[in-house]
Amino acid sequence: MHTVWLGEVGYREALDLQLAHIDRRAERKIPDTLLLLTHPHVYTLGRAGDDANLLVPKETLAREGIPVERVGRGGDITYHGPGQLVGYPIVLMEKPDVHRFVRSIEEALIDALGGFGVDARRIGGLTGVWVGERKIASIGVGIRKWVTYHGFALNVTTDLSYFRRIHLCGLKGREATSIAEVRGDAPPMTAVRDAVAAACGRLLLGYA
Amino acid sequence: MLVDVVMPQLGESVVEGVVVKWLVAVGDLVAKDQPLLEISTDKVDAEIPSPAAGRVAQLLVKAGETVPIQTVLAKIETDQGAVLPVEEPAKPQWDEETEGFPGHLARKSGPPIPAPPRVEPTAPAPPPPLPGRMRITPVVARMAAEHGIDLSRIAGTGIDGRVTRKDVEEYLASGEVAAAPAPAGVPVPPTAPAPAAPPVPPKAAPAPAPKAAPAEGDQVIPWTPIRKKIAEHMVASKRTSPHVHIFAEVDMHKVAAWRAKAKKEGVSLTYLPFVVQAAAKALRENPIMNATVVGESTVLKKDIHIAVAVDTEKGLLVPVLRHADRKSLKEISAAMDDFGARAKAGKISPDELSGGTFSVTNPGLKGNLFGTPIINQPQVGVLRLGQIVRRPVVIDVDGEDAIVIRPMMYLCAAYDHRVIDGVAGNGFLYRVREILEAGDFS
Repeated sequence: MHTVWLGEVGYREALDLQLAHIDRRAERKIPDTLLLLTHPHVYTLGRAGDDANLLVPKETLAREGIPVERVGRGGDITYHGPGQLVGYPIVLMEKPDVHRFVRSIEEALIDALGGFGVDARRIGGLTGVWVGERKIASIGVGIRKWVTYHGFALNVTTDLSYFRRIHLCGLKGREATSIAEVRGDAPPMTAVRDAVAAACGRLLLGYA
Repeated sequence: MLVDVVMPQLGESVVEGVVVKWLVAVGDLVAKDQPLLEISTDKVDAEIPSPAAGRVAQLLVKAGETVPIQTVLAKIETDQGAVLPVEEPAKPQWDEETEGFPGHLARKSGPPIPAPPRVEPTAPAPPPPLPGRMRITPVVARMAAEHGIDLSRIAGTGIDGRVTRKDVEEYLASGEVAAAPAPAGVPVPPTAPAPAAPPVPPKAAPAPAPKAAPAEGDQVIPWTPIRKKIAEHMVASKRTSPHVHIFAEVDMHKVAAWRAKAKKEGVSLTYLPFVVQAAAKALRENPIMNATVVGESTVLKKDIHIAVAVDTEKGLLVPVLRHADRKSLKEISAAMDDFGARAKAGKISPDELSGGTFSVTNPGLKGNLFGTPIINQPQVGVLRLGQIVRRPVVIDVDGEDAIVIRPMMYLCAAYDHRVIDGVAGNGFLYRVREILEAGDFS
């Protein structure tokens, strides 16, 4: 899988970039590609997401210059911002198995986190990656032209206070955590990025 | 031939899914691979592309329904000549308001079923998909057509910024329709064969800009979709076309004489129609300036449609004067007046704002001497009027130098240096000046 590190990219720009990649992947002009990046502050709602899970008025966010975007992925509300590694796998699903795909992303993140001494796990029935009862990575995948987009967001040094303004993924009482919070210190973003890219390269295979 | 659209199996453990929303209606022409509907399973949403090009003959499942895989969801008629069934098929339920549904989870039991065949015989000549990436429901398309709304003016609250029926209703209720200003300058999406947005190379992603945190008391204005569109259009033009800006100083005294003469006949003309006519004439003689770029070809446009900036109280509009080279001064002037009046009343239709092959712009009432306009993609040239100022100039009178007072104007032409060489660009501007100075109008 081809991996691209983009640095910080606005949510909409990243979406456009994904759509451009989807088109080219669907036409088989590029290989499966993992876009890795970070976003400036933004809250995003999935197709089925509920506004009520945003706990502060949109006006407050607008004043702070934080957009709320409704997007074509599964899942409810989530937050993206600095210190969070975002991955958008652009994978052609010739033999679609979206559940295996989501489970593979979870496995890749658990694998990568293990390398930093973070003992992460799945929780049955809940998509995402968890440390204890707290969520360290969110996953939401969409498919267009039989190509996946959207993906995962892993908290490395994310300011977790931003998650307290939402019901995380629509789940009341669930809290977010980060590598920095779990370990007390954080590995550099570049190290996490490389570990995640390697794990995804190993595990997100076999769909074409 | 009728081709089935079936609920695909999205995984070995997935036996059913929810039809979230139909993106097409019965009777719509669809291209192969055009998204027909959105379905949802546990945490994964997918758009189902059309297996074939043709016309939507039947929609068999309503939005919100949960159906097993392999269920036939719709039928596509691939034979363009075929008569569609007359019976009224089940109306799809547009879930515009919520853009969603209560989260049904796909059940994870049942025997694996082989993946559905995906590729069907292709019909020739698929219809063009919706312009750009703007995806709207037929309901919204119809409302837009009925009310003559440019959907790009509406901030969509739907999925991926999509404009929903509710957005359109609110927009209509807000009374903004009459006042909607077009973006200043040139950013009107062209209908000319705009090259599809070039695939963005990963490296072109915006470099992380230095963070300028707003200080106390600063005002943060998040971009509206239209602002964003203008921004993208401008940046895309600068990135696409190496602009060359050249200036000519034009003695407008013959134009002024024409205006004075017309005034005596009771016709009030501004300077603009003269420049438009001069430009049209010069374009006919210099077709390279009336062109567009498609891939690695330059397409010289047969027709000369000039987009002209019209100042209104609410902002600038750029309606397109079609076949400008076939119009007399009076016709051009009447068209400008008509555009101006209708722009104020908000009665300019989106059609009139597209299809330009060249642009003429001016700095408005509070003008200035010269400016460097941005090319309106996919055009390759633009002309900008400067303010007309009375100045002492040296002219030749019977072989003697003499100083006279003349209404002078700086005229700027920008051209796309990818396709227009200096000689051609200079030749065009020279010719415009020549026509204006000679008073060679019809």
